[in-house]
Amino acid sequence: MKFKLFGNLAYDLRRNKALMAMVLPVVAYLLVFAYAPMVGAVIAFKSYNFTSGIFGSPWVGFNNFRFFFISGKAWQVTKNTVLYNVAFIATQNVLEITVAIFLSEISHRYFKKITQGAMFLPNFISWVVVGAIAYNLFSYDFGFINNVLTSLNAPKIDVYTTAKYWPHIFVFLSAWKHVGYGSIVYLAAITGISSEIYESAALDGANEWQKIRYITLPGIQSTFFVLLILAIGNIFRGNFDMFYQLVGNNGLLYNATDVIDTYVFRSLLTTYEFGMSSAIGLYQSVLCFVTLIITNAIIHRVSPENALY
Amino acid sequence: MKILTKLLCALLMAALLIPAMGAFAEGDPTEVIFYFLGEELEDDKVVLEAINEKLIEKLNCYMSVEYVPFGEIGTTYPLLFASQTRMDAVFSAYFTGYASLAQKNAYMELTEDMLKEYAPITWEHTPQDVWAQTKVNGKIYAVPQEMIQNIQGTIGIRGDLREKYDVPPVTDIESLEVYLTAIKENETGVAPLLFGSMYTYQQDVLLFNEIEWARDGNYSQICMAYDITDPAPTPFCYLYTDEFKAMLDTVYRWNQNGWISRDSLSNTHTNRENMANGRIAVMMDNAGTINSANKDLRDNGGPEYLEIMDFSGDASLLRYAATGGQLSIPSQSQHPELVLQIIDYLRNDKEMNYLVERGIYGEDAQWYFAGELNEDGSVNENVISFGERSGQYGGNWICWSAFRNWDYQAIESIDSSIPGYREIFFDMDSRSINNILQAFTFDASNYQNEMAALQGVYDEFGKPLLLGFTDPNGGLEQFISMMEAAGLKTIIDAYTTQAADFLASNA
Amino acid sequence: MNRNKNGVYLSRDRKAFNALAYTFIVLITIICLLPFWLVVIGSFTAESEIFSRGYSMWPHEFSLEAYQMAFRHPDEVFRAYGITVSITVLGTFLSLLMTTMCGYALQREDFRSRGFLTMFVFFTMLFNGGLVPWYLLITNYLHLKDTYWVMILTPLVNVYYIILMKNFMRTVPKALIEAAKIDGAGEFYIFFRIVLPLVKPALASIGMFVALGYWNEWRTGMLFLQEKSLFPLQYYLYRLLNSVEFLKNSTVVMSAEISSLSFPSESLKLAMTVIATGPIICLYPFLQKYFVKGITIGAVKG
Repeated sequence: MKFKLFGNLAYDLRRNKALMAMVLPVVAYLLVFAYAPMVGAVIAFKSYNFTSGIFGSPWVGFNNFRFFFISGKAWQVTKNTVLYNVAFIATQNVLEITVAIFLSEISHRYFKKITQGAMFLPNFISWVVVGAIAYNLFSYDFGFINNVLTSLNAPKIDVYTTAKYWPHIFVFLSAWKHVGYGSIVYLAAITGISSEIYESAALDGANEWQKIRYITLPGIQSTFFVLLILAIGNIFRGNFDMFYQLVGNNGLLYNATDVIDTYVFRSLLTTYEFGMSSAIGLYQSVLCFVTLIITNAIIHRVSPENALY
Repeated sequence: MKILTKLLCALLMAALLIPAMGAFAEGDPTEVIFYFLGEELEDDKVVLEAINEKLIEKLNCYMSVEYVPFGEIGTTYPLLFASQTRMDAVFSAYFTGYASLAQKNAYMELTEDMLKEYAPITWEHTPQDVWAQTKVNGKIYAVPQEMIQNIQGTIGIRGDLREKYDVPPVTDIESLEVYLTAIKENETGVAPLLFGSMYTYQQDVLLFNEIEWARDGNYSQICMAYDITDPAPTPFCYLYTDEFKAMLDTVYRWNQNGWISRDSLSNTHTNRENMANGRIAVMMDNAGTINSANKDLRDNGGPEYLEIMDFSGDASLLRYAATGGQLSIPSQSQHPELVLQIIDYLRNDKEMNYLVERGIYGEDAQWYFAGELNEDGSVNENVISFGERSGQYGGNWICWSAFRNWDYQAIESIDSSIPGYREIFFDMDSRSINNILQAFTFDASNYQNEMAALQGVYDEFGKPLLLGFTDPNGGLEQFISMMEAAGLKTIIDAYTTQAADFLASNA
Repeated sequence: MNRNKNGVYLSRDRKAFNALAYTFIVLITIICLLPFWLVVIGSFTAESEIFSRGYSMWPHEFSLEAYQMAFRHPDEVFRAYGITVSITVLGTFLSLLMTTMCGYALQREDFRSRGFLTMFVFFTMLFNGGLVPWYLLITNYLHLKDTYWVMILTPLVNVYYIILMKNFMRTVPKALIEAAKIDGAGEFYIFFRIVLPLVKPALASIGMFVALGYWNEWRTGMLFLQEKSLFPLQYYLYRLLNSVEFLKNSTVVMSAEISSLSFPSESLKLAMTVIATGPIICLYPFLQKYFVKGITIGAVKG
């Protein structure tokens, strides 16, 4: 394995100098900005202090991981993180593919441009602002929804103390924020499918649904798998900004809304235990890594050409 | 070898110190970098320039001030220490994790010798029990604020609404409940009470002030308290007390009655903002903030006004922690001695202190910050009245509190304060005492896991209980059992042992 | 797709499909537009009205106070715009060039190290050293703190886009590359002249992501910038909002004789979004038209 690796590198250095030159900038960048600081990940096993620095601080083994598990929340927040991500991946991919297919079929140039542009707007609204809008909508005493309900003599809804609404809210918001963005990738993939295929299918009498089923979907399959693999590479990481800006310090909702990142942030806010936050970062990385290997193995079985390696 | 290095170091230090100490120092003035929390305001530069002019004259140095935004206490602030960023002095406080950071060697120890030599007036003028509060594991890591703020919780209610519904004056919890009922029943669009980020005042108002207990401010998640009137108190975990349970029952009842807004857990606006915008009828906050909210209401031009009250009767109150606003010297500081000299100068020279705290006093009305003039042209020292643009100068912010001098401090003028505000202020001040345990800092370095886990549990279960969203019958037991699972018992044991040792060695 | 024009017939199927497509897209567009509309209107609303009435579709009391606050120092705002534009242009160009070249090489089947190098790249998405070591590297070893380049360099390489780009490169017919090689074309010639024009849609979409990333970047500023004259727009606005909220909520005993009502932090929060997004929206049609052209030409020159 090792010899093969060096053999390959040596071969490419000799025969594929140009290709090597093409990857060189990225490789060099990652060596400096990503691999070099990885050495510092040992901080997860140290009791950090400022004067000794990362390497001088004493080793503490796995002690930095303990707080996460004795709190009794480890399972809960890990589960929430994964379930939310699964829900996001599923809804967003379905919506993104649908939007991309529809947009690609729409011939109206300006309509296409304007709608596509509009779908990008949520990207510019930061989660802080989304949080402010949500408070204005959902607030029990001053919110828009409850004002309307009151004027209709309907009972008020108490969004901020009722956990069950929140998974829906987050799935919705995450989709709202990302669908425009994500559909662009699928749209680019669809544009890449040769139009001749569609034309010959049309000649054969295929209807729209058949074309989608037999041409478009297979055509974007590889993109789907890539996006899936990329998403799974982060499946144990939560979108901190979204969860934190919307839930804040509302303990009543944590059962349904707390993800690893928000939990760790709150727990370590003023203890400044760099080792502990690194430890949980490592925990997330290892879990992502394992999940990814399993997923890749499955993809390898199902459709080998789409596996990462 | 070691001795030789030390000797060389000492010589080097001396060589560096001598020019800095001399009043007629030669060479270019030294830059001393201060890091504060907050934001640079528009007029800061102008005032700083005036301060620096004097500093160059007196100490041949000048201050450069950098700011770290408040929201970045958890991110950028500790990184400054990790990266050994060049800074000579830095703001520290219990709410920026002073004790935790000190235990991780972020700050330089300030020895008595150093303080006596470079900040002699400050050392003398600041009471020993205030110095004692800054000690972490027996060592001083900060110059504390000497001025003792009164920020105990008080109550502000909308007086116009009280008159409107003909409710008798509010003097205690019972009459407050009458008022809350009236608001709930009659006033739509106004929540009786809405808590936000400053919800801790509610505990002080409803429980701690009256029974003369104080909570450990360094680590609120461990729920330790002590009796402030006891000269050698034994700390205890208040979660197990009947008084705490009784308070939770009250709050729960209030919540069930609809007196506490359902938005209290998610509201991020401050009490002052909510009051100023007519959202609430009652606020529990410190007297100064209630007074400010009253000003906001008056500025609206409507009939709204506030009444202020204090329920603590003649109970003794604990003075605000000296660690609430201090200056530390980071371990990487290049000019610790200059920092101390600057503090000593700005804090104890009257003219400088006025400049620092109030801005430039001058002919130019645009730059008019200082205290009002008396008839005879002298400055009325106990009246504060800022000029039009004073909001754009940050000298009165907490970051500068290590420069404050109680003797030169001004308080709100009668014209600009709620009736009763000044009386409450002076009354609370006269009842304020210190306690030896204020100087005790729990050494959590061996219990970081428990501390973090407890923080998580406290955030999740504590706040809903304290604001009455969870029924304390059952809710409290569940909270306690979660806390115990996270290591509360271990912490209580360690805490009480350490506190006993501390008392034994400091008696 | 031109086939719609070719297909003369509009079957019943097609009609149903079109109806569905338009309805769905319109619906999504409204969901995306509505909050933005609220933000725009809110930014022109008086602070006190946001508190008393919440956001509305139309302001009852039109007010420019948030913008007056934001543009108190127009020179600073425009400098921040300038910095943001320049890091976005330069950063996008460099980032896209690196991403595309890397993605292309990693997809070439005759590039034997591609498996290893893909893993090498992908691994950094899974594992990292954490905040502190990364911060120390940038400040203490690379000395990039308070430099213009830190804004360009920290977001420069995004593994996500490399992997995505690698996937897009699959659509380039291998035969084309082979043929060009036989004709004696060099690798870089093939890449710039043959491959890039073929992956325009991918370049456009990933380029857009990268550009938006640079445009919206403020965390780098938060961590690495103290020097005000280097602040990009988003971070400048973030600090501005901070100072307004800071002024508004004095909790010290002695508060100045200044009303918290004169600091429009709620509407400023919304105005920030408009200030940061406005130029992009105004230039959007123009940008979209020339974007692809621009990056392909830029790439060729590079």
